[in-house]
Amino acid sequence: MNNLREEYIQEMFEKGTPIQDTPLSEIERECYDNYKLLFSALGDELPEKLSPGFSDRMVQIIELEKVPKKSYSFHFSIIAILVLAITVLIISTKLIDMKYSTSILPSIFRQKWIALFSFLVIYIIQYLDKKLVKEKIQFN
Amino acid sequence: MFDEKNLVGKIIKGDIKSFQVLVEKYERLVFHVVYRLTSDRENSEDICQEVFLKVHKGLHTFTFQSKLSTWIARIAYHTSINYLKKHVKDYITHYPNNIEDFAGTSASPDFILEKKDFSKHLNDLIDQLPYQYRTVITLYHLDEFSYQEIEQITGMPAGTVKTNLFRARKLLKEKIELHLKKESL
Repeated sequence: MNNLREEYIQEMFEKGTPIQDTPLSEIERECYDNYKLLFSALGDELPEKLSPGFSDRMVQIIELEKVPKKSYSFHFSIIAILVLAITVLIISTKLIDMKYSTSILPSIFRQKWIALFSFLVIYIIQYLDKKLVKEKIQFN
Repeated sequence: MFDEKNLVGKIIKGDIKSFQVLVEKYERLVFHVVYRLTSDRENSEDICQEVFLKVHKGLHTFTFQSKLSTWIARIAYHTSINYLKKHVKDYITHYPNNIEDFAGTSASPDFILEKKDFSKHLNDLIDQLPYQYRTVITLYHLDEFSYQEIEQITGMPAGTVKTNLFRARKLLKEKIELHLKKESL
């Protein structure tokens, strides 16, 4: 049977046109019956489904996603306090150096890479602890 | 009546209960698209979660120029295609001209005849179709989208949607004919 005729039969099903109004040959009738079977089964619900409680789990995930956003301001305030503290420390050390002719600040600056490296290591440990340990505990 | 605008507005303001209502309303649709495209039961739920996370993050960009269901189905479609690109080699199968040309005809007649449940058998046949056909069959018949809506979801022109739908049904009908002939022998 040619494609045009099959297209026509498919369109009849799409539009819900009654078959009684259309003359069909024997081959076309067989084709029509098979399409009838197909069209009625295509709308059947899938046997597979999402597991129950999917929406509850989605809500939990969204709420967990929100947690880091809340803590951003906390992290920023910690950083701001640290920067402020370091600035105050440097200025006061500089003032002491000037008043008593000591060289505390130049000595500290000579060791600056050790201080920066220590900060970096502490930050990495904190980050790994949060990502690998604390989040696992939360999900279990 | 389901008020999409009201619901979306509440979700954007941070109402998590409204988001749960949205998930409950559209989880069936998202699962249909994801499962039919990926045929991967094990990972379908994770992909559905990814879809709803994207929906939650992107809801403020939704402008109501289409139905919410169309917008969500589009996200589900593209997320599934990305999954296929990442995890399935040669996921783009050629358009077969007839039933003998498409993957799945290698299934033995015994296997076909063993299938008592026609609906299940049909789902197996759909799984073997190229993904473009699976998409249009699912969106049109299972989720009752129009040609224009399928165009918005997939980006395929409405004419291509219609052609794919016709060819997919023709392939399935031919397969059913083979199945029925073998059964009557």
